[in-house]
Amino acid sequence: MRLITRILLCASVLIVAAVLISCALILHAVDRQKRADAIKSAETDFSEIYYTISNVNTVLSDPILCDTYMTYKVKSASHLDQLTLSYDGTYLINNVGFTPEPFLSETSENGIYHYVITRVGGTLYLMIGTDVYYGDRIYIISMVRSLHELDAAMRTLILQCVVIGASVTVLFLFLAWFILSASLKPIRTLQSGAQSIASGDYGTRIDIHRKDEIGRLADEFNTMADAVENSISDLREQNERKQQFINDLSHEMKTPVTSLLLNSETLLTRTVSDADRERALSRIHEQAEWIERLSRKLMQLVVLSDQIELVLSPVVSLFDAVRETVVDSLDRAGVKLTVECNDETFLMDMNLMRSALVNLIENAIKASERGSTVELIARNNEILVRDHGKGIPKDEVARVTEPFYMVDRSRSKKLGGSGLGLALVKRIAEAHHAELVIESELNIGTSIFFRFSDAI
Amino acid sequence: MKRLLPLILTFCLLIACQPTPSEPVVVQKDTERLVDTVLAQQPTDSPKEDAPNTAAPIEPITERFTFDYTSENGFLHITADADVSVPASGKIPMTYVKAHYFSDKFAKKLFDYVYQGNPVYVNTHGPKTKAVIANELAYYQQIANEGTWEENGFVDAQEVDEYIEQLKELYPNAPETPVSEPVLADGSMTIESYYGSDTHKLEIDDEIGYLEVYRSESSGKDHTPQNSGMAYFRGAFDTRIGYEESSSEGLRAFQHWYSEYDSYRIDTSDDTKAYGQAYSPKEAAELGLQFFRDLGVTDIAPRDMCYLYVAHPNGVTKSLYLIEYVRIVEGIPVAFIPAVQAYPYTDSAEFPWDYEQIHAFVDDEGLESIGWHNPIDVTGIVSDQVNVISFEDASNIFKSMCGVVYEPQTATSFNADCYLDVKVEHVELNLIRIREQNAEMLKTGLYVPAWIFYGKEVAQYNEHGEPDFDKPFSKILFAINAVDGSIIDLHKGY
Repeated sequence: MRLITRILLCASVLIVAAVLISCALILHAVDRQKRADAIKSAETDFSEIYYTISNVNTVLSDPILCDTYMTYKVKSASHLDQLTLSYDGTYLINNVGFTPEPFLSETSENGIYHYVITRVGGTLYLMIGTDVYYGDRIYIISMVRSLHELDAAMRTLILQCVVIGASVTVLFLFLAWFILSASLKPIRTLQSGAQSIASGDYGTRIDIHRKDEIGRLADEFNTMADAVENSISDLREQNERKQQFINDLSHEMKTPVTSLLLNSETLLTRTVSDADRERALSRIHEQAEWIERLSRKLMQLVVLSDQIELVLSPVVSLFDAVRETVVDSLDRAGVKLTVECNDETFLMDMNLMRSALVNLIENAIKASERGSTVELIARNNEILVRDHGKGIPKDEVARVTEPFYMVDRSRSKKLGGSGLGLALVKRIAEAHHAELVIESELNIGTSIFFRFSDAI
Repeated sequence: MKRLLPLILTFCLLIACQPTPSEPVVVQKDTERLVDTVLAQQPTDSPKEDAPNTAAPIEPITERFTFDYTSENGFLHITADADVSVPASGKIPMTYVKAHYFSDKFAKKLFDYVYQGNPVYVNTHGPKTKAVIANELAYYQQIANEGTWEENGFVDAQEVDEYIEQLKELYPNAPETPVSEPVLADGSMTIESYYGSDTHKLEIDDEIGYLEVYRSESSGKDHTPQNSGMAYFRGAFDTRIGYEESSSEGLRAFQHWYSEYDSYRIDTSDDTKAYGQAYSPKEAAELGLQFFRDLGVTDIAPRDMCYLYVAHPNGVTKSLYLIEYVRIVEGIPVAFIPAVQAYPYTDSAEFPWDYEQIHAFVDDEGLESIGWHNPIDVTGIVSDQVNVISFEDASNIFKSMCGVVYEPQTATSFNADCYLDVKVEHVELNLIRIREQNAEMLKTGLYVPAWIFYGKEVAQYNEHGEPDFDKPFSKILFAINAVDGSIIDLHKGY
């Protein structure tokens, strides 16, 4: 069932109930007032009759004459057609057609009369009666007044209430439908927007500018749509990066695997000289080592999670460990390493930081000429590795941390690079909630900063 | 929603519940009880002509009824020295009655009788010309503007406005000049609607005479009949004689410019022409009877007569008989109710039911006028012989109750002493009409046997002298229902 239909149904039930209750209360109040007026009028008339009849100026002794006297007195009164007179259960006058006395249940304020308003044979009557004493005889006089006019008036009023109530209900429902349709239009717009987004149009936004709940809902919807669009975009980017990563990995693996296959196939299928065999085995060993390094770094990259244990550790210890690890590489390349630090301590994972700094220094060594210096500095909230080598072109600075990206691919591969080092360093920096900043100038050198967050 | 709807429906059903209507214990109305009392005198269900009737025959009463009563305060004096008459047959019936309404057929019959079947050219009263309507509009508009509707005989301002609206509706189609062509009347009744009432009327008014037959009924679907009557006058308008009677002064004033000069009661059976008149009282009464017999109405008899001397402002005088007739039912005359008592008031919701009036004026030229108003139909016989209370019981009731009935009449709202002298002249066992109460606007009732005390009343204010009982007709002083002994109130008709 549509929302507008449900609302209109509920509203119609409520309005009908409200109209019914209101009409019932009004009709009840009007009926009560009319009945009260009828009782008052009847009491006035009956009082006049009662006092006329009970005003006895002659007391007769003969029972028949007593009846004649009382009958005459009643007949002389007004409203004769409404009166009954009885003695000892026998009616002397009754032109009403039924006995009113059994119905008289209420007592008037003066305590003398008994009255009731009741329906007899489908007609509404007001009956009022009392005892009249004549000598030692007790007569009962009653007045029975038809309230058909009151009945008819109430029926007319009920009909008017029904007609007016029905008209009001229909009019209200029409207005309500009109107002609800206009009010629920934004929801249909929201619905349409949601459908568009669900079908892939993530740029859909709702153009509703209101200060009510609907307006806030539209704003939230747009915010959600922004978040969805950004998430989709990020996911797409991530997907693309992953795909690129896989593509790059496949590409990187392809060469050494091909070399392994070729050389191993040569050895297996052909008779080669010892020198050739030595050369082939050497290539197999190199490629295997390369694949091993690649897979090791790849494993580090994949396994590294954001949830690492950071311990407040002195930089001095870190730098000593780094120096020990790179000393052979430095000697082979003829590059010097200078270390500069004080008593700085950082919240860090020593092994990961050592790995990152070793990667950076290895890269610096590869970029430096023989006799140059690589600097390892710790100051304030940062650790930097600076070389004075060839530098990175400005348009490639932003990409050097991408997995498998190499500035000079052939030279890097020749030097044993896999393209994953800086990607791993960046990942380690992210795990330490630190920022990796690369500043480089061609033929001047490169400085790579590990900037730790102040919160640490 | 699923829970709400049943709750709301239950609520609606609850508030629609009504208490079970009470079952009434049905009792008979008074007229039904009267009928049952009379029918109980015929114990079997066999046809009444075969059933033994336990009603005792009514013995003639030879003793006169005498009575003398003076109230304690001296303002009321009631005397009686009256003969008492009962039906010669020794029995009296009780019948069902209802009001009769003259039909179109009767109107045609009357027209043919009066005009010998010849069509009559009469000048109609309308239509009014534009000039006449314009003058009337200006006149009534002035009354409306000045608010003098009460002084000019209207009930209220609304009546004036309604009359003005009627004139405005007539104006567009009114002729410029008076209609000069006389209208041919052939005895057909026309319908006039006025204030919620439709009157079927045949009315001819010309130099030859005046004939009117009417019956009125309420407008709308139910067409509840209201009243009916007929009147015939011989001669031109200003020669006709009508009469009014007051309760204290008797025949007081006359229509059509005549005024009463003198009147005295005469015997309907008197066959002498004591004053040289063309017809004796008996012959004069017979003229009226013949008129009715010629119309097929035979159950009428003369009841009372008086001889009148009347004078016209131009000095012309004439003498004539006024004859009052009554209906005869199963040989028994219905009580004579003079004009002063024939038009009762009622405070009930029912339409007033005037008593039947039949009278005729006879002068030396013959039947001068005849009138029959509020006719009655006898619709069935309850019993042709009713057991009635004895005159002794009736006279005891009279003696016990006459003071109760008449003493209040001596009290006045004026600053004056009212002396009332009542004289009973004659007592008769007659039939009198009582009306069924709560008969839903229909005029139905019974002719019941009643002891009727006829006589005269004289009221004097401040000074009490010898009362003058010299009036032509007696009135009903007291009516006692001869079946149950109750006093019949002529005004209530019950």
